Amino acid sequence: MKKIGALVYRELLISKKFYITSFLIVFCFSVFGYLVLMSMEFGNIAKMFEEVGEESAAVSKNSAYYIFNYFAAFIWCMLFSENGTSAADIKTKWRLYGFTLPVTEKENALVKLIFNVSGIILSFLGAISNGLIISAISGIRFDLEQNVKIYFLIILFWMFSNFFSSVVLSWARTQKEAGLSVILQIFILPLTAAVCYFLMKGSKEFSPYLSIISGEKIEFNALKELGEKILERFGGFALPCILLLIVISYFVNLRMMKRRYK
Amino acid sequence: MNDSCENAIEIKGVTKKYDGFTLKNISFNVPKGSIMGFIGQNGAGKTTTIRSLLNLVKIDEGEIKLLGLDHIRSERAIKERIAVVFDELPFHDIFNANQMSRIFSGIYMNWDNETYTNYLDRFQLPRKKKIGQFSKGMKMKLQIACALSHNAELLVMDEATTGLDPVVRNEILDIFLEYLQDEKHSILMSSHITGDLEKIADSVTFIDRGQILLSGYKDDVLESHGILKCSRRDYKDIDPADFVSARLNDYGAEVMISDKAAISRKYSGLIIDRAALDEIMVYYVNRSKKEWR
Repeated sequence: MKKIGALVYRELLISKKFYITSFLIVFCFSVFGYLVLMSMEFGNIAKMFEEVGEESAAVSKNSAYYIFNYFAAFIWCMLFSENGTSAADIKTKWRLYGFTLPVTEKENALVKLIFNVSGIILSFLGAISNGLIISAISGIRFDLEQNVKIYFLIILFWMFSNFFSSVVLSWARTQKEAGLSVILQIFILPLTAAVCYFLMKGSKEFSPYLSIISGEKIEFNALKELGEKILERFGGFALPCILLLIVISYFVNLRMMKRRYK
Repeated sequence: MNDSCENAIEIKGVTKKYDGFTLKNISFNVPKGSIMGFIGQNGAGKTTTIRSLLNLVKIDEGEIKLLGLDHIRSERAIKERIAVVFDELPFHDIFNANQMSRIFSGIYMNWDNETYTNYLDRFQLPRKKKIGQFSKGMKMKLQIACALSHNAELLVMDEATTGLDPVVRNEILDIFLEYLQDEKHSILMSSHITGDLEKIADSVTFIDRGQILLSGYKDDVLESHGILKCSRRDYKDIDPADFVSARLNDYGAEVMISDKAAISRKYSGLIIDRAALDEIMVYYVNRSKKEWR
């Protein structure tokens, strides 16, 4: 346990700047959201709503609620994405040096697991807290069950997008190899989105919504309906998939860390 | 070399193949309580050999034992008892010396913080300054302080003194001599700065193009080797089998011989000068050419 503590301490020191920056970004975005919603309720935007009518105002409020609730949750997910230690370890040659220390691959993989799980928990708690504040300001009811499922889906999407690049970083021994993870990160998000698009296209249930979300004008109600359908279909699977991905990540990291130099 | 002593390192028949380079049948021992200089030019295979014995690379053939234990089966136990120093500091720039102590005290069971702080004081290293602001010499001293502070029985150094100024190198070499005083500690030190090894090594091993050229006690190597200086006319009378290689110039020849006593008897009247380790290395590296300029 002392070894794990030392390794966790080391990783915290290295990633301190990353976590502070991530917190600041999500904090600033959240506060911006609170100010916008407060303005919609009591400020200048509320005055503008009086001119456009109740229906338009409700749509705008709901859109803002969704954006500042769920996009903030997306940004919270940065907390369990790659925190820069793997790349830094390769650059400084700590990864090479680390093999000369009495630390096993299991202990190293366990440290990564601790950070992964802590990041997921923090992201989830952060997203919930933000959601509650947003609901309190906007007056829109916070449906705990629905929001928890949405947060889990967002976490799962982010975890999946990060999975391959973090595996490459565990495997990498040189900076050139580590660079592959950057290339993966650039392509994996649009690739995941493209896969989702083609899956929707092939589905009788979801394909009608494609014309709505890819049309000139995106209808908010149709988008909301799509979101509810996705939630109904897949929301229940998100948490088990997250847990499964955590376990798979641990064992894959462990396998990758055993790789020695050429 | 005396094989009956307990050895800190035993390498037998180690082979490692790459495209374009092969570490071939490497065998040597480092007796306990001694310091071995592992010498070779850049690209000779020193780092590959060291990485092999530390299990940083997988060997294709051979057997390696560190402190009497198999280097793979007992890897974790071995690594508790050895310390490694590389040519560059592998610690993050944002850490300071105090933080490194906290990290290593968790990693090593036998971490001795008092020894560590004594080395920091001796090397005049600041405790709270970020490592990124250290000079190259300070970084190396910090790495050595960390290496010597967990009661390691074997110190493996890969080009650790390269790039350091003579004052810092001298300071570090003195530390190593102190480390060896109780005869329970051993050092394997790879370097192409043969001057350092001439000062402190008990034994030397030369490697070139992935093969061991010679291995033995340093004093024996220096005593048995010499540079025979002669005219071109006298050089023609020397049997090629009697020398390692010869450096020719317009006026004469400088011939590296490996058995000074026998050669001085055979070619009496010719002058044989003492050879330094770096000269021995240069002549052995050119052995395939036999004659060179």
